[in-house]
Amino acid sequence: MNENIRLTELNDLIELAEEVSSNVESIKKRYTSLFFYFVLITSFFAIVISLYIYIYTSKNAEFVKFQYTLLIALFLGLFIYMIMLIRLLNERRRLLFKMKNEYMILSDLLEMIHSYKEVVFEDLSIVKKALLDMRLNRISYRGFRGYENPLNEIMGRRQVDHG
Amino acid sequence: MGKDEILDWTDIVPSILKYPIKAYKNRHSLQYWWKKTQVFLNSGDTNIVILGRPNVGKSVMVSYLYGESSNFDWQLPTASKTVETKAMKVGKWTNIIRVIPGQKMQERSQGLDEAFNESEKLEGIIYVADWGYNDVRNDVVKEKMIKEEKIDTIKNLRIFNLKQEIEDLKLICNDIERAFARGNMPKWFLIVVNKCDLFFENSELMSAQKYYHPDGDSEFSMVLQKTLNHVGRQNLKCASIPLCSFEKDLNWNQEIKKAEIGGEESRKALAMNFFQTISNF
Repeated sequence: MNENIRLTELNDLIELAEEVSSNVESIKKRYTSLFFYFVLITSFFAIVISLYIYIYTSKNAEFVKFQYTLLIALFLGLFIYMIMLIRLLNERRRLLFKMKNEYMILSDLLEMIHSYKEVVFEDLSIVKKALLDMRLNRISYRGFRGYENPLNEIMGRRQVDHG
Repeated sequence: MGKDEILDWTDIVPSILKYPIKAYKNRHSLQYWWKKTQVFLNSGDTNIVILGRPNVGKSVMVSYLYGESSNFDWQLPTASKTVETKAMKVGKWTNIIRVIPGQKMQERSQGLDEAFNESEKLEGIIYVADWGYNDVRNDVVKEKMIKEEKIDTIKNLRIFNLKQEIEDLKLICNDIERAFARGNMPKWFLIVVNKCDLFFENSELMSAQKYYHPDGDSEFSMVLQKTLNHVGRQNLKCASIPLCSFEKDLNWNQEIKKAEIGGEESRKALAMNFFQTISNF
């Protein structure tokens, strides 16, 4: 009976780790696509500015007609760009906060699962041990490159994860 | 001595050959910087892989041997979540050392796969043990072990840990035998008995030495001997040495095992012995 309870607890921990790991991966993907959108809109805006500068410095009389129209479009574009930038920054902050939260949980789970696993494994069959090991081998605990491990930040530890 | 006397024999060779000769003279430095670049780019084949159970002190050992732990702002690392890569001079040449996390995870599998299957230059394996003096990081599990599993003394903790260590060693030995079958086996296997500050007293140290000796009659030695007989003792050199990378008392259920190694000089001597042993391989 005790064995079953311990195995159920370990299964619950592993399931949670799988879920959190998968959440972290999807947050990383959304963060990357956020960066892609930022590059896209900035490039587009840079092209519009370059076009305006080209037309402004051009001696072609036909282009001069479009100069003022383009200037209005430029200011409108700048306004829309600022709004989109603010929204992207807000989304980035929200994602980072979520990532921090998930990563703290994952760090706790890493230590808990592997310590508890050694206790539970004593009573398990070879097949059950192998199945649990296979599930654990699929979970990634790697942090976000370039992002400090929030647990280290909170506990005042130096960042030593190299990835 | 006359003004025209040749001070360096390279003076007599044509200038075009001076650079290759200079490169050859500085080959150790060049190789060191090349390895450091590879580590920075996280590329390069693994030369030495460091394995062991979680919390035996693999990362701390590497930090100590690399000289990082003597920095003012260095603090004890948490559980490793990725493979740590370092370029370390062992003897005259620099090796790429990879520390594989002890916990089962995707990164550990990738690290082991890279070291044993992909790397063609794997020279040696360092297996870090701690003679059962392995604390549990997580407080919830620690309390459960003390209250429910009756692992309430350091003696019981050591018995539990040594059993787990044997199981872990069996898995490593399996990997070595598979590498041998593929013709990609390392040349040496070094058992580093870490945390010897907790058992530095004479009789305990002798017992640990007997336990981890490749030719001993302990359960650990038996598992090792089975692999050595399978792959051939002349193909895989094996040795065990003590080390203390960080002095820390062990506190388990209000029982304290004090760290007593007799100061920094003893630790340095053990570290020198470590480098000497690897150089001799």
